[in-house]
Amino acid sequence: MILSSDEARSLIEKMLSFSSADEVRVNLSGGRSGNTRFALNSITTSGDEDTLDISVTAVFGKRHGTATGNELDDASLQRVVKSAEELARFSPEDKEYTPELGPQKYLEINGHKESTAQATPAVRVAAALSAIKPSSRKKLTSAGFFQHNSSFDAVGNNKGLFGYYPSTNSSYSVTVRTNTGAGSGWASDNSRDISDVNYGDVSKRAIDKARKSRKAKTLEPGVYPVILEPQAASDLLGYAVFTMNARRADEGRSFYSKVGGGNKIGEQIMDSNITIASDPTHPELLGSPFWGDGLPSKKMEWIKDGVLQNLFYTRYWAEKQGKEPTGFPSNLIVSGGSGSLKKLIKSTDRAVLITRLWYIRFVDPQTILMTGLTRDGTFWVERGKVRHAVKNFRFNESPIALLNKVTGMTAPVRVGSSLVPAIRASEFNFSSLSDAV
Amino acid sequence: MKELADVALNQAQSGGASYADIRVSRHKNQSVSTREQRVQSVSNQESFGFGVRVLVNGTWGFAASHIVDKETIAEVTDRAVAIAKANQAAQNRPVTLPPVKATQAKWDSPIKKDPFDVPIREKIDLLLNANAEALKVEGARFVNSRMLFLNEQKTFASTDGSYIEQNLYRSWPSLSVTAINPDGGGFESRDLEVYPRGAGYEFVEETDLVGQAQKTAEEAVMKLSAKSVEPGKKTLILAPSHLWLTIHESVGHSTELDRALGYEANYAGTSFLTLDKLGKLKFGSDIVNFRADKTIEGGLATCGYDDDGVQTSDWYLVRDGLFIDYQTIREQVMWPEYRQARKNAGLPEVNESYGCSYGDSWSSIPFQRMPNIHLDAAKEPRSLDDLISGTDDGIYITGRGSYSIDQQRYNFQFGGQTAWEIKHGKITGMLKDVAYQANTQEFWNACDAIGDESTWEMGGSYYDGKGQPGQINAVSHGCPPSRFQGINILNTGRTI
Repeated sequence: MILSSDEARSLIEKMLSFSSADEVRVNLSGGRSGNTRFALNSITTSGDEDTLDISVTAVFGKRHGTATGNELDDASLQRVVKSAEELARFSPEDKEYTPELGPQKYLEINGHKESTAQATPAVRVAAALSAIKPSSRKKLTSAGFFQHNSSFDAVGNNKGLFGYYPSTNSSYSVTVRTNTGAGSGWASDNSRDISDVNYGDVSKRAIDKARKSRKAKTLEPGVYPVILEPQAASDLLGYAVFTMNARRADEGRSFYSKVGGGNKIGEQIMDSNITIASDPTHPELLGSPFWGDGLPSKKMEWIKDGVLQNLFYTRYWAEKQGKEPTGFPSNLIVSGGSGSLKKLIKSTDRAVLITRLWYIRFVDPQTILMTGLTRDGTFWVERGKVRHAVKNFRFNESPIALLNKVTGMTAPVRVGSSLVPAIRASEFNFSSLSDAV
Repeated sequence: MKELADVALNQAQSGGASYADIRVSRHKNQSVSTREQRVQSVSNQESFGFGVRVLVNGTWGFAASHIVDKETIAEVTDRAVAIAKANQAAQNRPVTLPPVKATQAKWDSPIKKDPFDVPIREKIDLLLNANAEALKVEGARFVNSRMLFLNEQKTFASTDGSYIEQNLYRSWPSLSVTAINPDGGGFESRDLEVYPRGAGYEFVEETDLVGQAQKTAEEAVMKLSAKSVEPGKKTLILAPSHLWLTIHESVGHSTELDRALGYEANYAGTSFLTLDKLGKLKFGSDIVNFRADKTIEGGLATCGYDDDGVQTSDWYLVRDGLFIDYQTIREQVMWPEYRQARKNAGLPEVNESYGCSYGDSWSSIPFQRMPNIHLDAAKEPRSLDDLISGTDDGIYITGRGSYSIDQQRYNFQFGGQTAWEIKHGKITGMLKDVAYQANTQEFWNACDAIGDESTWEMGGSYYDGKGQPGQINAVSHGCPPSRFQGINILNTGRTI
């Protein structure tokens, strides 16, 4: 269910009127989404969903509790408020409680695209057919997923705060496998505007990769130079950024902790060609203008020329440490270099070229050492050309180590809610081979 | 409720559906989170709605809404029918369903104490007491603890004449302690080895959080000064608190029939257990038997009926080391590749699903999800001590740690909560930086000893992910401690 700004405000005010708590905040989110899945060159499942979430946080003194529901009749709404109040009353005082915010000024961001909001199952079928038809002709098997949604978020409290943000999103991804199971290729695209999702091109790229990834040769595991395509780079880099919690760093339980106390803000932790920022107003990405507690989101620079500029500060920890609260990154923008992947490959003497990474998990949070595997298109590059496919690898590597060995980057491209370049690095640790295709 | 369900079923049939079902469900979830002597959050979440699934000319359509009234149900059902019709242009594998017995039934998780009836203050006090106990240990610096309770009240009705009501509960207390190295950086965490159950609050009471907090904290501190492991091939003994996850990843996901055929190729992946291997592949050594089940008391995937309306049961996936079956839902039983593979393997023809269909919400499309899968205990008496005393150079691993496996379930890497060195039949001390890597088939064929029934324990996960859009599934895995020969051990210690 999508509520307009006026409808959201009216529902929030109704909820507030049901409560006798000292402070009350209401968060609303809802929307309508559609999706279609296909596999074995045939549509498998497809659905449309209407959803709504109504969340109430009630506060008495420094005691707080939260309840959510999704039924709109007055009795159900009152039940949610009562549940939040009861939880708050029976909770002990929270010495870290930070009072609700008053009215805030938010960035002007319009993440809603009418083309996406009006999308029908027909566009999803057309996307599926863009992979199914050529795959069927070429002895290939395609499996993919197209989804689109139109949604809203709203926040309001009894101190006069109110925020409303409508947005849309759409994405398509496809994996094409050879019928023998010897080759597999993957590609994807996403945009807030469904007409920007070039599903035909995505299907073509996946088909091309599947065919080229047949006859993979075995490269012994070890340390190799690599080129991480933007998806693979994004898969791994996220762990370097989303672990930037200031409190954990200050408490000594993070890579970002400084030996002897404090954190690494101001230290050179990556190569000087690495700059990482977030910007909810970036036209290719767009993010919500506020966080769940109503804190405005803003442009942030996390790494500049390899130097750590900031960590994520909650309102409580920021106040305690004399810092500004930052919120979580609304997106990830890695500045990268210039030029295309083709150009980067052309200037490469030897490297393993990786399409994407899979099942990435922490091995050691102290060094952000991650393990995972390559998947759906892994190739050997030599003297400026992609020479042949190679078998997939398991890796044990830290994104921090990777970002200290960067030898080249492309211009950044959109990957989910990030802008990330393809990254070439001089060393990457592949610990074993995988038979998976 | 039956009247509402009939609106969907009649509307679907008049729209041309050969089959339709509706699930109306209420999902409740309560969470209490603490750290040290502070309550971070307490929340009650509730979600109510319905989803209608229709089959029109062999093509599925689905639609769902949080507004549960006759008018919306009719409108949403029309939408599901329209989606099915639109999809026919790209339908090359028409769905057929085997006959199923019309069922009128009610099924409740056999809980003793409804966790939602237990006062919130009692839960908070228990968590804070456990935290206090952990922090008494010198060197234990931080502690997080949590209780999470789920309740799923679900009504299923189908055009096959079934009307099934179920009330499912799940409970999970957890605790984690972090110790900081006072001598120049570094930290280690240790999680309590307690995993969620399909049970009520009685599971929390049986867990003895306060009693276990001290040992958990002591071992977090001990990890700081543990010896870094010498890598190489070694004998591995895996505790049930650890092995359940290895079973989940290497056995549970590889025996999913939808993965074997390619239905999950774009996300979770396919499986090395392709249909030509059914009844032929030596999955493990002769002592390895894996049983799938959705009926065990306390199992997270346990229920009376699945989301196809099929009564649940149990069956073997691997018997005497041989791979002999998959997990199935109703439509999969009719897949010609599966029927032919069974015939080729000399296995009996099946016309009934094993009941593995599940949608994690009223707004989610049901599909094939993992049942509880267990490793059978040895029939002859064998304790953990027997396994250790018979090991010359090995490592004993407990608890869920790091875990990763490839998209066809060949190559995996796991770590644990604790690792202990075994020399000449005895545990000689704690190790750190331990992970092991193996190939699924080689690993299970390297299993040379399994504990007896008295050593069998159940672990499990709330959050097994699969599907697009992503859905979660809760699933339990029981096993005894087991021993594996010649496994590749890695040292994961690094400096940056």
